Amino acid sequence: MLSIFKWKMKIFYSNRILILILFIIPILIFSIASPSLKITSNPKINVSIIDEDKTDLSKEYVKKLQNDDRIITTNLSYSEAVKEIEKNNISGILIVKKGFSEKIQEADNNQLLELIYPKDNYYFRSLSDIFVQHYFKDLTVNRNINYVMDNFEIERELYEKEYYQQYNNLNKDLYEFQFITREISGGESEANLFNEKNLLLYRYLFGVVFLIAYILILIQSIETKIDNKGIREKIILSRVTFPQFYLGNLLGGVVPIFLILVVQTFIFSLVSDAVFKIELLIYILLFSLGVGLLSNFIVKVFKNSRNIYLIIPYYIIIIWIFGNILVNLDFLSLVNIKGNILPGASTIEAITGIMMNFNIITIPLIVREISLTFIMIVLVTLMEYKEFKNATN
Amino acid sequence: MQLIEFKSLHKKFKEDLILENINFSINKGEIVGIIGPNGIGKSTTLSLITGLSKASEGQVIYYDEKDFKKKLGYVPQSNALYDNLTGFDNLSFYYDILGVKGNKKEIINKIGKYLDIEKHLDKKVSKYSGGMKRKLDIAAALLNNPEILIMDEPTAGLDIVTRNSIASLIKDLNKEGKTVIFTSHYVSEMKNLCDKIILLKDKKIIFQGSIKELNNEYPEIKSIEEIYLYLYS
Repeated sequence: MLSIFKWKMKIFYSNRILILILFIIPILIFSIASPSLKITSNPKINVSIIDEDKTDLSKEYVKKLQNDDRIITTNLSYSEAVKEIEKNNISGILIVKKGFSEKIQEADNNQLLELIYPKDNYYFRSLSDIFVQHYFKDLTVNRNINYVMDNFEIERELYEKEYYQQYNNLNKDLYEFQFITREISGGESEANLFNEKNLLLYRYLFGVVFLIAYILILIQSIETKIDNKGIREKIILSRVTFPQFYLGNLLGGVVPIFLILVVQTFIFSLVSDAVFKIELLIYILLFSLGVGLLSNFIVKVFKNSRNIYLIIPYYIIIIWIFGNILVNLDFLSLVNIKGNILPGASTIEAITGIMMNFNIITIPLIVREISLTFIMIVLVTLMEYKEFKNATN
Repeated sequence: MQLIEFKSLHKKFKEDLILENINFSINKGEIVGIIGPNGIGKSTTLSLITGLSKASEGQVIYYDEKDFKKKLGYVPQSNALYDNLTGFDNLSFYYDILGVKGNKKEIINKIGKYLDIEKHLDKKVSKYSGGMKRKLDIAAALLNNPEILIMDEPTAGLDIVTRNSIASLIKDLNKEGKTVIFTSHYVSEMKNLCDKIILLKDKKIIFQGSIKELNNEYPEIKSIEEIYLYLYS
């Protein structure tokens, strides 16, 4: 196994130009973009909150916002808050509208909140999700439970369980609450924005970097494939057994990619505000394994093609459709699949999340990745075994 | 001393019959040439000897079966080399997978010297000529000092000078006690080289024996090249 592994590694590193591209381009992308990725000021959003409703429910909601790490709240009157916006001291005003509590109870989602922000602060609008996501979920669930409890005789515990499940699955509904949004002229609010811009940039940069990794791992698989009948025959006639050959071949493809990605992510963490944590290694290994197997699979499927490099554009399309890496085309929703079904794509989310110190790792994400990797292992093993066996017919 | 024997052997690929009722034996220390035009079943015969292929009917008997694989040196038809690596790295890989014992560098350099490619071992194989590649392939097969050397078309596509140099090499290896079995469609190079030749035609063996015996069988034809043309045209 070791000799096959060593040989594959040698072949891998013998292609200097490809290694240079695989290694240098992502680092260059990050280095060029790094000045704009540095968090230069307070990453929290500074908002003045005005509670017009002043009910228990509205107070509870304001309290939850005040406890949110991402938001700094101030308690100012409307005119004072507008002046602070002009002075660039706050990013906007959030008004909890009169009738907030009543509307919640009546299941009326319209005009519960009003957001006021300077004209040039378009990020603020996208941040409205922060005001909705977590608090309204609880409110909605409670509201519905209360409503059902008042009108039907159902066991509360069972009902709560069902409702929580339902609202966990239907996050989309939570966004249906409508804001009144109003732009006012005011100071430039760039300085004190929450780092949503950076978040977006990081995601795109990681998307590009990993897209390059996908393509280059495929090229590398093409370059290092053992399609030479003579080499295969000689390996079979040597002391190497099928498991040794298979493992050496697989590890010889995965380990170099893994090492390169580890060095890259470490360098990214040095040139930007991304963080490098030890747990990243597990996800990078899983990514390398998944994508290595996928590339191996594709190379085996198209091994008889006259020019195997022609599959690369189609491969990019496959990554777009099934990976949701750069653009969420949402094709899979047509067949009722959420997320992606491409090996490696889920781990990109996890790697990006860890590097941005943003916890998005979920059990379904890990389960999906491991399942896809397992399927790839089965397929590639069967194909490899068939090739190995065919040479001995 | 008999080494290998083919007994009433038939070989099929799916439904196609490739070899039919093949019977021959190879003795230790012989140089055996398997001759015939392309696609006649020469490579299949070699792969049956190596064990890479299994007989559909009949059997291949190895009289010294113990560690037969370890005694084999195999030169496949297509170059079993990786072009992006150096000659040394290619040999180093085969040294590892064959489990050769001894100092790697010394052994590789010694074989390189023997085959006159020592000076080129640190160059990438992509820069080798066709003849050098073939020699490197033979060097890889000699790493484990095999008793039996099996070569599939070792001279195919090479110029006459390189073909002659490989023919002398086969002779030298045979002098050292190695049994050499090879295929070729260059009938003239078999003339002064083989102890035994096996002629394949229409899935069957049409002749086996020495060149002298072949000449005796066709006394009216002057040269072996003409006999070949007579048999296959």
